[in-house]
Amino acid sequence: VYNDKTSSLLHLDLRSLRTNLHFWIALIFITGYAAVPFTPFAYLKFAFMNLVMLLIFGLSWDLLYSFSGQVSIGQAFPFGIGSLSFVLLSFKYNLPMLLSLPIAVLTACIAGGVVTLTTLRLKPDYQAVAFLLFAQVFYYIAETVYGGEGITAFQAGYTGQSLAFNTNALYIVGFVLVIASIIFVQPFESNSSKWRLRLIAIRNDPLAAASVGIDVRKYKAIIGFASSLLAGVAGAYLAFFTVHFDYTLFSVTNSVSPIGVAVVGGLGSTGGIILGAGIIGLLNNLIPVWFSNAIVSIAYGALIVIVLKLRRGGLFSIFGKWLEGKSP
Amino acid sequence: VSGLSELLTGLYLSFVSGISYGLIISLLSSGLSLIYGVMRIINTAHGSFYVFGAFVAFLAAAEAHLDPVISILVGVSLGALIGMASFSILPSRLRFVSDPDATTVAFMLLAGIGIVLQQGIFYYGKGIPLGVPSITAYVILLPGGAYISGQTAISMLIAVIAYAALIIFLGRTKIGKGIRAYSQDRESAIGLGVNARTVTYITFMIGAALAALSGSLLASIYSVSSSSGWDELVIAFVIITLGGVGSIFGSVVAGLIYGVIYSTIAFYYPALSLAVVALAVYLVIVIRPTGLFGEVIERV
Repeated sequence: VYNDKTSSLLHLDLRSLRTNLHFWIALIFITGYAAVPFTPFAYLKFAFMNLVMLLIFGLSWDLLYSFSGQVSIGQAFPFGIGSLSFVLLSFKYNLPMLLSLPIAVLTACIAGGVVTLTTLRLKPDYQAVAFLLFAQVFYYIAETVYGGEGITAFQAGYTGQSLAFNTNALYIVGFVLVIASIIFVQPFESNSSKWRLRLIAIRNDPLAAASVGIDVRKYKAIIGFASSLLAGVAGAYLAFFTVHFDYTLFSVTNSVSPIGVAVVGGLGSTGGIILGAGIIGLLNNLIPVWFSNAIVSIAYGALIVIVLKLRRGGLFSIFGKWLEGKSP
Repeated sequence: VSGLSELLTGLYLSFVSGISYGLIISLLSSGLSLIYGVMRIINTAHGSFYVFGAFVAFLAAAEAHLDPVISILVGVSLGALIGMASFSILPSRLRFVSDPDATTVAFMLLAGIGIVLQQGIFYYGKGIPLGVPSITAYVILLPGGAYISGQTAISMLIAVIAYAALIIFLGRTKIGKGIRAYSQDRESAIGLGVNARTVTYITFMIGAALAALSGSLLASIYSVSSSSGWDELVIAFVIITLGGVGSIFGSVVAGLIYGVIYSTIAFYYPALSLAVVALAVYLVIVIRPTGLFGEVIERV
């Protein structure tokens, strides 16, 4: 399932550039992102901002699972905390949006990290359930406190920050965030990184890793904080460009969404996550044009089933095989 | 004095409704617990089997105009079949191997199946409440002004019969003993002639049938929303976490405890009842990961 033989973006070797799938996928994504403002399709900007959010969210779950063996079905918790903090800081307390963003991300990082700390000694199954329960607690609280409508810029007494309605600025912030997030996960993905080797040892055999002196708890905790930080970035960015928060951001369905991105694209690789976010983003944007949102979810669930049934390495492994065949 | 009297009345009424709800919802968690205890797979599609049972029973009663009892039976039978069909989608390696990677993949694959099933029902049902007509209109009066409907009493009786049948099946039949042996020591059980394929298929089928039975019975008492499924999965997790993962007995007791606690909190603070219960169980997991009654696999 896990693409542990793939080289990362940081491991670029000019001789093998032709076959470095991460590089090509990232290049296509960045070129596409940069090209959108020059097209007459304004809606594409929104679609790409959504894609950025999915990509960062997918990276956050993948970091937790593929690099430390921890399973979460409550990733919506740090995501929702990031989103809620951002909306409260920006629209309730009128902090500048660019200041609210890092504070919201930090809040999500601490909140998710602390929950990870309390679940470190649990087996992955129990840990997944503990994460889920915590997300559910906030789901019900947010529903009770903020109601079905949630918080939007105007309703929260928002006095007006031009950035919220400047699509170009939101788009550029998205670009900065996605590049920063991709760079952030590279030390965990680079083949030559000590971090990666230790984490693979922890993931595959925590007992053996501990016996050779690796502090398993410390590394798992660090990954927990790092993963929550990324989920917080994704959540805060969603609130940033939609100027909205509601309780459904803490829902189980939202927790499953980064799992789908990682599974469909390919676990343990940045290229796979970009591919997965691209496919899921496409489904999210195309299907509602003709059908209801329920059909998006059905297609999304079916895609997870098909990929896991037929190609557990995800789409990344299909393209990887194809590219290997092309190499001299 | 009147405040205390009101408090006691509230607690008593909550206790009565909590016991009936807890017993029926424990069927759902027992199915999840059985599947986990035997196969070490967290069935993330379990909440969908619950709403599927309610949905089929609703269709059978409302569209095909079948008798409510027959409708519930149809819901349970098709729930068992959809469970088997879902299980057959899992690659065979995932059905028999329990290393963390395989169980996580199974968990994700079942989540995918759950999404398809749950959203399919939501798409068709448009979020409407799924109700099955009551078998009886009688009301049973209890001391202290409390009462339970005849339908609730019959549903509780059906739940007790289902548990009795499950205990007899697991304790007395050859396949049931095979399931218990397989849950305790796979290699030895297979070595002694237990057919792993049959055992796992039947276990998954029973688990899905219990979820469907829970859904169709609750649809006959309260109605079940066609948008539900995930909340019920969380409730099932809450119950098996309290009772100990893999323990049917623990699930029943924890189901009753859950039902009473939930009803009591819902009586005083309806909006936050699920949040309080989820937080309490989170603390139980963190402090005592094996649940209140321990991980008692042999009681499967």
